[in-house]
Amino acid sequence: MLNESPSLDRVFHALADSTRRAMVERLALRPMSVSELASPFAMSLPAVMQHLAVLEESGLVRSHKAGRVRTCRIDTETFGRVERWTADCRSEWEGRLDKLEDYVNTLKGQQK
Amino acid sequence: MTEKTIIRPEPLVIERHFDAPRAIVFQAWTTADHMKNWFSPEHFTTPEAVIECRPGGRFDLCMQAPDGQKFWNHGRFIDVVENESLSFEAGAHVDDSGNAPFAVRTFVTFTDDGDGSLMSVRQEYEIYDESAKAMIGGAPEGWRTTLDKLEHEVARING
Repeated sequence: MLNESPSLDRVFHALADSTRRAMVERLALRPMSVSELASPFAMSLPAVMQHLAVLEESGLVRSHKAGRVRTCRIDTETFGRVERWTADCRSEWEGRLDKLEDYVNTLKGQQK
Repeated sequence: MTEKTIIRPEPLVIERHFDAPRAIVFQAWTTADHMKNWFSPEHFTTPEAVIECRPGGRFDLCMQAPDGQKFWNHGRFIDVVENESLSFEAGAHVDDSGNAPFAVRTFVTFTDDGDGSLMSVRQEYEIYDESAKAMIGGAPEGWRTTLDKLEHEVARING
């Protein structure tokens, strides 16, 4: 888990912005071209392209160019890494709570 | 077709003073050759423009990003009053089902302001997809750098 920390830093940095999360949500529906993603706000194009660069750097989004059109899509493998990290944290806690429950039951037994 | 909720985010309003008569600023907005010199944000260029300055006329511009990607914006003039005002509806990207997921209307007015003129841009949005709303965030900065270029173009026309 520790070895993944640098890339997780980039992933969570990328997700720590509501515009970038909205872009991820749109791309989760289906792959889209950059212009479709920036639509309808032509004047937002520079901002959208900057956000896309951050998302690509994090590995959450991949793009490929076909002719003059660059199409962006979600990289599910990166999302899998995020999921594994949160699952690891959760199972760690659930494990402790299980132990706590056992311990409480033991105490109850001793008091009887 | 399913019923869709229309989201109307706060309109964007930008004003700018020019040291030039409003007729010059109006000209910069309504002539393709002039539009190609300014109608795109910083670091972008406008290699192509088709401007038919009359109600229903085309308002089509191509913006090119620093990496060479081209982005066409198709629109139509709604109304034009020479040297006073113009409005246009930005072309929506029409999806496979033929529905436009949004509408953007831009209203521009030109008034006298001291020795020069005052231009006001008001942009209204109708969005049918909540997640598209976030994209508006970059619009004010994009407009600001675009109008910086307009200022240069107006100064150039004005001599």
